[in-house]
Amino acid sequence: MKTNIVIFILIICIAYGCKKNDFKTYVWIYDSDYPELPVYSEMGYNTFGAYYDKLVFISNEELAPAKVIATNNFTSFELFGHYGAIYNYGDYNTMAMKFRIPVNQPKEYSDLISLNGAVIDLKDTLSQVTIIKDTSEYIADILSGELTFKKAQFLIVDKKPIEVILSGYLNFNALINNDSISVREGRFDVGVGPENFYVY
Amino acid sequence: MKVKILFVLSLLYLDIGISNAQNLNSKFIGVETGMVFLNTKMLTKDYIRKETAPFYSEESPADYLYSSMNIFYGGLKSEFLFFNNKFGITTGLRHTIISSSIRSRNSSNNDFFYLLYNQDETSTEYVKIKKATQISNYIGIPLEAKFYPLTHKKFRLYFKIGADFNYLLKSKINVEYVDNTMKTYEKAVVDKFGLPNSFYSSIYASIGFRFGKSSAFSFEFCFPSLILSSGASTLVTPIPIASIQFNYQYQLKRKEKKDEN
Repeated sequence: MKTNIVIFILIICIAYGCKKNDFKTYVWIYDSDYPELPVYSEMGYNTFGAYYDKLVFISNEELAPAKVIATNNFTSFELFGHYGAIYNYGDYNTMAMKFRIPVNQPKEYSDLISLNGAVIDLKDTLSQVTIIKDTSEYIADILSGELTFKKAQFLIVDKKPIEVILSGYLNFNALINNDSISVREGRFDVGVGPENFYVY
Repeated sequence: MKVKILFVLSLLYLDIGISNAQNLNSKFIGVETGMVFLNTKMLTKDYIRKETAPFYSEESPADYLYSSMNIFYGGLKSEFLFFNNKFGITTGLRHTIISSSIRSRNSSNNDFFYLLYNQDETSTEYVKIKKATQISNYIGIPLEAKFYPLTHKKFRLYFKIGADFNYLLKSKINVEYVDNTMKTYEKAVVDKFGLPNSFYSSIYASIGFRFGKSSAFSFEFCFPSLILSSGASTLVTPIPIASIQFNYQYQLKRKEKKDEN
């Protein structure tokens, strides 16, 4: 009984001790060269953007821009947003890109710091890119391209680690349903913490 | 320090020089106090972060902060009247306190803002701040020219144009943290804001009302003044609206007249 009480108290202490991530602010700063995209940054601005052929695939205020899922020896870096104009989004134009990347499987979000400087060859047989547009899901046949984690760093607020900021570039050419598409000028600056990191 | 001493000495020299002028009718000495009413615009600071949506992204993240600024001053002033007391020149020594602050707009989510105070290869560090206040003390000279078009018994109406030239004596920033243990990193935080400009100068015009003769009280309303020097605050950009000034003056007797008698 005593042990149960101690465990209960410990759980309560841990629950209250864990700092809630209140650093989910969304800072969109236009890129002057590519005004439909957010500027490349390394500040955890929780934005991303890329040209998807003639469309733009960008983050928005409604959706958490990124998730990292580690399961079955695979790690998936996923971006969620919409295609079309910056201010025009809803259920009708949602879009996501999921990158299965061949890296050591992280056990917790802080392990993502090891992605610092990593360049993922998306044509690698262990890589996979899945594109979800509206309700349709496509696995892209990658012709060439890279996902670059230029910087992975801790975001610290009041001396407490809150999340890991992943910043980098994204470019690839692929076939989807035998149609060629190109994703270019992609850039992301997203925070991954306990709320959007999943391991199972 | 040498610069400050030279500055004060130059003010005294100027004061003596004017008082020795030959065509003075009357000389007054007195005290002044006043304040400037301002609007402010938050300076764009890339190290201050607030939420911005694409719709508003032409504004800086800092535009989501509330900013304010106050200017108070007080000092000693001499006035020299000439041309049958129709015109006057005033100068003296003025102490100006410029207080500016920024704080979150108290949204439903929080009452703080994030300030980036350290960034290196492995981390980006923010501190949560409720409010930052910068208080700067300037010493300077006002130089004003007055025209008295109307005199009725002890009442005089006047118009004035003036300027002041000020030198920064001291400036400090007080920061209210969400987590008070972050005071340990105060220096890094304060360094981010930086120091205001060493010189502060403004020009102004006003209409004033003076009551009394040998002992006179006056108050005046200044039209929007123009701040000539930028950087009087490192937190906000001031937009002057108007100001008020109060003066009490006492007439000095002139020795020359006694000698003539």
